[in-house]
Amino acid sequence: MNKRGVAGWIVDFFAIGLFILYVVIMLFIFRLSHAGFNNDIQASYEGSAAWVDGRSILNTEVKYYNQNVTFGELLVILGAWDSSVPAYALKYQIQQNLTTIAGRMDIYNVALAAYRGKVPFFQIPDEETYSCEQRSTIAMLPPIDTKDNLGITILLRYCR
Amino acid sequence: MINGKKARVLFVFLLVIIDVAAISVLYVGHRQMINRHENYLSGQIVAKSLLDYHIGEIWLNYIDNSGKFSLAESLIDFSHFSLPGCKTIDGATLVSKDCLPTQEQLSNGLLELFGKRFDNYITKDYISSPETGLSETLGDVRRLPDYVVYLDSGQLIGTPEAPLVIDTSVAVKYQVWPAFSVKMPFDAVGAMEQVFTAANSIQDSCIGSPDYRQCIINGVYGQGDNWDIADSTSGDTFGRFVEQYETCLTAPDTQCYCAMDQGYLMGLHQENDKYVFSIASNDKMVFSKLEHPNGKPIEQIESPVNFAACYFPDGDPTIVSEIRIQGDDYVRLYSKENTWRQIEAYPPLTLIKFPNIEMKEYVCILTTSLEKVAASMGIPLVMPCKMPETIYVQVNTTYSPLLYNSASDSVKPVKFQINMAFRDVSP
Repeated sequence: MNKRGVAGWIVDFFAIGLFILYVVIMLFIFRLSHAGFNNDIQASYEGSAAWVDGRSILNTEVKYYNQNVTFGELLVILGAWDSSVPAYALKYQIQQNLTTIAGRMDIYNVALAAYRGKVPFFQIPDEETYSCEQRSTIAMLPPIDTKDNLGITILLRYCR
Repeated sequence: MINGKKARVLFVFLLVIIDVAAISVLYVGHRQMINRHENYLSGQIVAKSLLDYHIGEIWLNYIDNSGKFSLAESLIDFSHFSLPGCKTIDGATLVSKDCLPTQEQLSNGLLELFGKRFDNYITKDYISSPETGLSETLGDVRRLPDYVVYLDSGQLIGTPEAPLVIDTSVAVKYQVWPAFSVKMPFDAVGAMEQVFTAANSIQDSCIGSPDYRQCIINGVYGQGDNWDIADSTSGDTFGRFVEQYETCLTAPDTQCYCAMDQGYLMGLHQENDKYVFSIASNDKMVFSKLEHPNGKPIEQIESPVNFAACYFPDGDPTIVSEIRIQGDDYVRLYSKENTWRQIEAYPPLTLIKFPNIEMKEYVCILTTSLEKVAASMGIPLVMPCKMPETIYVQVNTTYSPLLYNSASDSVKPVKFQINMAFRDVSP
């Protein structure tokens, strides 16, 4: 190949290389612009799983007075209880039910806090010292009684 | 003329220029696109949409539960609902030919009760949340839409009049249609219609019967195991006590006596030994249940009948503005005329009913023997007043939802029970 031919090839190579460089730059720019996408989506899907788990826990059927009620309804029933009257049996049942449900769902270190309006009426465990990263979710339920106009809010945290 | 070499150089030169220009234009365009759609590209919009979806699910779940609780409460209320054309005696519906509610009337009654209950749950006061970081994620929903409710194919269906707006931000607008349906635990409307039709049939066949009570009992037991004659002292003791007075007072004849059932007084005493009945007759007759002889009323029933309250010591009747009755083994009366005075009476309480000289009718609690009063008054008080016989009947169902009980301040199963009263209205 003569010198002219070599120069022609170099020019062609330069032109093609420049085009490839253009494509690579475009891909790089696009990649940069999507840098946070996966992380954000991943985080939101994990958060989403917590909401779904929360609903599953609250909608799990349990027995109370030989009737099928949901676990959420059991918390609502406790929320209707006069705070001055001990409700050991019901609180114990809630704790037992939650342990069973958590076992079935393969989750652990479950913490639950229930509020009537803004006043907490139930919390397990009393103190939380978990090393795992807990997922958290919230739910709203109506009261079963009409003695005041306060709804029930439930906060759930757990590890998976 | 341009030769091959020059053409090639020119081509490459132009290619480089075009590539650089294209890269520049695309880069600038891309930057603008990134700036404009950064939220989408970073995944924030997807994340926000997912969160909105879950918040929507929380409210839908709240509404479903509200519908479920409201239906249970309204069904129990429905069992002693004041039906069109029906009179109620002490919480029991008086069976009569005017009291034959149609299916439409019953359905409307149930829906009306449901509407009142459900409306409580969709007001902003119920929808509050604790001061936690998570609660802020619940969005700015402060009022749920109004609903149209109806019964269809064994379901109670609620259709909202507007969607529930969850998110109104610039990037995402999210709203849900919060309709709900609750399965009727049993055909309450059909059951009520059937019960009242059967009750009217029993009543029709027993009017004019020589033994009305036995006829009703036979008719009731003929309906099956879930129909039962109610215990005369069961239910609301105070209401039954007042009912007994009213029945005596409204009996058509005068110059007669009514022997009162001591069971009501005993029943009240069993509720709380401090409870006291009061009968006041200033402008109208008011019956009260008091915490103790000097206490305030905790329950009151006003009666349309107008009689003077009095008691009967040895001589003439003594008219007083109020009589308070406390009883266990014996009856202690407290009468007030300027000052309170305590008198003792022996059970069972007897009411005597007679017109005085001014032809105003009196009803007196007897504190002495009937014969003695009759002799002193010179009137034949030995005849019992002809009181219409009332028989209470309960119809039970297997439905017993868990409901809040204010007396025990806890949630317990409450039976769906239809209470009826049969009364002999034969002339």
